[in-house]
Amino acid sequence: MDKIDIQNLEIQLLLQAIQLRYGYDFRNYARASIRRRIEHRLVRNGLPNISAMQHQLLYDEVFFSQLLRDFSINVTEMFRDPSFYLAIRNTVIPELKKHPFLKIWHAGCSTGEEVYSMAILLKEEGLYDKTQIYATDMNEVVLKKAKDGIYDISRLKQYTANYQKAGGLESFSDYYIAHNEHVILDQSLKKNILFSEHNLATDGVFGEMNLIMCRNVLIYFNRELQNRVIQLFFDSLAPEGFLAIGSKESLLFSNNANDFKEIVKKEKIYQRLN
Amino acid sequence: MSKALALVARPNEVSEAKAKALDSKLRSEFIYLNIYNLGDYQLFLESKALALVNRPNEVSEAKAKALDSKLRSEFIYLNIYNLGDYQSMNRFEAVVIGSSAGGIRALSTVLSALPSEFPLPIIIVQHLHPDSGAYLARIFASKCSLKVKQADEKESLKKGVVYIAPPNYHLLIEDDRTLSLSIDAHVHYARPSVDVLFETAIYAYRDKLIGIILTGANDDGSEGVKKIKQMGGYVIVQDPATAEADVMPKAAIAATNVDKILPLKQIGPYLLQLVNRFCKNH
Ligand SMILES: C[S@@+](CC[C@H](N)C(=O)[O-])C[C@H]1O[C@@H](n2cnc3c(N)ncnc32)[C@H](O)[C@@H]1O
Repeated sequence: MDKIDIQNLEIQLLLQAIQLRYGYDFRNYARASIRRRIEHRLVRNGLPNISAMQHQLLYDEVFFSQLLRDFSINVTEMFRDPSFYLAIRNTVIPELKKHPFLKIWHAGCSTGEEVYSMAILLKEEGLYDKTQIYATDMNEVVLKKAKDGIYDISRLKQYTANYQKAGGLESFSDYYIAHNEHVILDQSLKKNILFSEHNLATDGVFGEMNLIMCRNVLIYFNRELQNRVIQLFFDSLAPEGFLAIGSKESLLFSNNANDFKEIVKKEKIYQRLN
Repeated sequence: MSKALALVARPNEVSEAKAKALDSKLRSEFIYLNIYNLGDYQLFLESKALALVNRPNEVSEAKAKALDSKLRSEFIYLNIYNLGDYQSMNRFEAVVIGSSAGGIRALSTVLSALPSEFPLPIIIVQHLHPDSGAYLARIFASKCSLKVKQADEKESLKKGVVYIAPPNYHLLIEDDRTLSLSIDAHVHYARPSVDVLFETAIYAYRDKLIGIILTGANDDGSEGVKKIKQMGGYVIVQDPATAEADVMPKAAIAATNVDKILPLKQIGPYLLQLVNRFCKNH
């Protein structure tokens, strides 16, 4: 065993310690990215090695919550990939309009930008009032931000441009008020959104959905965990329900790949087959 | 030692057991020299090195370092090329390339010098505008005989294929030599970042990695090449004088003792030569 082998062993032990002590299971996350984040934390906190980090996180809950934040990459934006939202508007919304009542699940919603983007779209299409939105993430810190719906004003220009490219029907400024450095989203957008903690690696089905959005989360998982999560989505979807994943993600490694039909290939929008 | 060299010159006369014994002897000699910072390999061959061994203080650190890297490549050469059973061992298993401003042209020059049966995978990070789609892969595909594609999440690396990082994602190599993407924060203002690719490639390929830095206007990649060298890999940098933007190659050269600094036009042919010499089983 050389130094790298031993370090790999330490990482394995660290992830197991986290799982046993705190219940969060990162063992099936894509390892290269996890390793980078562990190394960063190691350097930042001046720890001598990963075993020392393991010792600290077993006893120090505050330290663990820091590491948890390191592990959950929360980068997101409103109407990220505008063409995706345009495709939802043109292809999925007409189908959803056929239902009397809708359930939509945002899995790995981060700080909520994606959820509010969808809420705006549903409003404009006259669907918001008959929709229940579930917005979940494993990280309670980002969920709190999501609930607040208050964002940094520096992103506004980009969000406005995205909204327009995404086929927005109104003026984006109808949906927020600007206050100092912040953009506060309209309260009415929150009415039908339920924010709650849910971990895709360990938690199960909680309802029958017409649309599940899980974008830019699967890339952080290894094949095994991706497979588990796609199974979970399959089990959580109503017949002919829709699944939307990130533009660089695929169902290729899922045992359920054949249970889905590609609706918009480029935007990674799928539909559950019966 | 001189006996070993005689055998080296007549590889067919070396039995497997003998070759192995020879190898371990070479290795320990090499390590010995390494530790004591001694001897130019040529001197070593003429057993002049032994004289130096006895006077370690006479070798300056800079000289020792230069000698060390020379020894390393010569040693490897002996190891693989001349000793029977090492004929099947591959010294290198992947090439990673990083470039930024001016990189599209530079990459075209390098890639078009390589044949379709190039025996290693080539993984590239070129800084790009986030919205530029897959056009880079298309440009290169039309210009070179290798297969070029945009990197897909979780795909396995194959020899003779060029993988280009998609714009706006970091490209990482997993230990099982599959690719992953991430949208982690920018590194050196860049996503994809050269350092992220190189640093993860090191874990997957260790000393069997060739890293190349081409033209660019920031210092992304310099941390990566430093770590490639620390791990015993091989680093080629474009001669800054031939680079459209010289910050990136200069930063790489400043970061570590790189193996080769070459004008752009020579990088492709040199890479091919290096790989043909050291990678026999393709
Ligand atoms: C990059 S963000 C994606 C946000 C948004 N979906 C988007 O595409 O813009 C990834 C999110 O996935 C969450 N996440 C990671 N692992 C998770 C898990 N096992 N269960 C639930 N959420 C998870 C992270 O906390 C983070 O907020």
